[in-house]
Amino acid sequence: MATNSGPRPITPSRLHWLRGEVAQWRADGLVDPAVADAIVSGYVETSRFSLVRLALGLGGTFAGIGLIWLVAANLENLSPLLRFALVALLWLGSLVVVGWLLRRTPPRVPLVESAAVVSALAFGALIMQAAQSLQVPAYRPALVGWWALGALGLAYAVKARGALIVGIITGVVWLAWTLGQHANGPLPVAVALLSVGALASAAAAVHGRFAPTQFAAPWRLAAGVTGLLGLFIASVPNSSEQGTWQTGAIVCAVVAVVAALVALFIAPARGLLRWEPLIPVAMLLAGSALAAWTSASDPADVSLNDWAHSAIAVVVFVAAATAYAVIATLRNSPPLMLVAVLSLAAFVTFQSFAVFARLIDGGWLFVVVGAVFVITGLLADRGRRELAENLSDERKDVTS
Amino acid sequence: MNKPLVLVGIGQALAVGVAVWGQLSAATTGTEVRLVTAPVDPMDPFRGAYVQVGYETLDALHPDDSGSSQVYVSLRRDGDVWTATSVANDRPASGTYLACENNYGRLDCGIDSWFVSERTASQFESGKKFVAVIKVDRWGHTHLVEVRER
Repeated sequence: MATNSGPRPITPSRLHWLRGEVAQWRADGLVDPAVADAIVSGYVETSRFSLVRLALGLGGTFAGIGLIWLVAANLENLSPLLRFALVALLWLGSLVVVGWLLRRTPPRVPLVESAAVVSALAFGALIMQAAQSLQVPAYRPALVGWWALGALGLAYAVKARGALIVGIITGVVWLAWTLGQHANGPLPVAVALLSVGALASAAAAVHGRFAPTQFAAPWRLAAGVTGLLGLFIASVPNSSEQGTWQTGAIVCAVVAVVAALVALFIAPARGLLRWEPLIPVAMLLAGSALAAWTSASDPADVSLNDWAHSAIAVVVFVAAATAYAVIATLRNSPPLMLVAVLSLAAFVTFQSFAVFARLIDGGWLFVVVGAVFVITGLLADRGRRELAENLSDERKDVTS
Repeated sequence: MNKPLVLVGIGQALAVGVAVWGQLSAATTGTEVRLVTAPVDPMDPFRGAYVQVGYETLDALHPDDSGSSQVYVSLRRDGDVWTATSVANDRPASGTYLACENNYGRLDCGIDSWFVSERTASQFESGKKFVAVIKVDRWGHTHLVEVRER
């Protein structure tokens, strides 16, 4: 017989989701108010840090990285074929363990997550070992691209967020590397990152309708990080050629814009969040224009063109960071909020350094730049709190 | 066993094959050629130490340096080693040739990295003459089998 052990602790994001669902059930007449209250009161919000989850997560990551390190050690005592067979056996073993853990009832999610991370990294080790055994030339981004595909496939097959994160990171590295390797300036890398931002945002928007809801948060965080990083690179004043538009960068940008527009029409979000996929598209367009704009031609003089470039770059970046802060507030995502606030402080400090370094030098430069960083950080934090207050009605609307 | 997981495993195994297809084909079906080399030793983040292998015979070709494209380098036997005779945009109708990428005048034929341990890599000092043993299949794919002192 089951015992009543009181409300079960769950994370704030899960409770947020549950409240939304229960409100919807009530609105649809599936449950009456008393049952709805009983369901919600069966859970309590907790931010308790799980040491077991941390140990399993770190352990899995270390084991996987250790495997790749083993490949890099190039163990000459074993023949290339034997080395490949050994890594293949470990990769296969990791898949079997994931399958075995999935069959257990009830499924132990932290264990599956940890095993899936090991397996995603083991697949990377397998690709790298195959390439090493067959002497595939060094620095080939395509290998990382295949790794990303395998990790993403695994993540969706077993619904493991850790493997998804491996897939997203390797995917971003592949795209930026592929477009940047023959680039003669920062433009293709900036476009690659901004395009990834738009693609990741589109992916986040359609999760919940076509894919697991819990995968939306990593995609959304990837969209914020890559988009803001791409905008940062695009905004750096550069006197030399920024690089030409290569076919790869153009294709990438077009695919990203199309994906964002498709997501806009099919995503299940309502209210302000419906427009979320358009934010990285606007960033892509503005970032491309900023990257193609030549400024800071004379290191000894700050021209009107330089001021205009910096001013517009700041306006665009502040708007982008604010947009992500709004999304973070509405989606109840502290990591995305942290990315928005930190990137804004770092960007304004960097821009002010680029301008002030030509006007003042020595200790005063550090004093001014340090003051700009502190003031921006404080203003951004105050803005975050005001945003949360002003958007409380919109949040309720999203939740209900 | 979980069906999606089995499919992912099969997909991943196929992906490994596709990722190294050129080298795999050359290693299993290729014919052996030897080219004179001049190695130096750098590092790859995922695969460790390797010897960067340069080829005098390829450096002497001077292809078009205005862009990036697929080219074909014809080879001719010259005693116990082979030499590159010409570079063309079209695939040669006969003979032994390498399928290479021309990156702004630099030829990348997939044979410029020789992965060994860090200790072994340091033994490949510049100044000495080495010869690379390479397998080439009928499509010009290459597989670097060995680098040894001449």
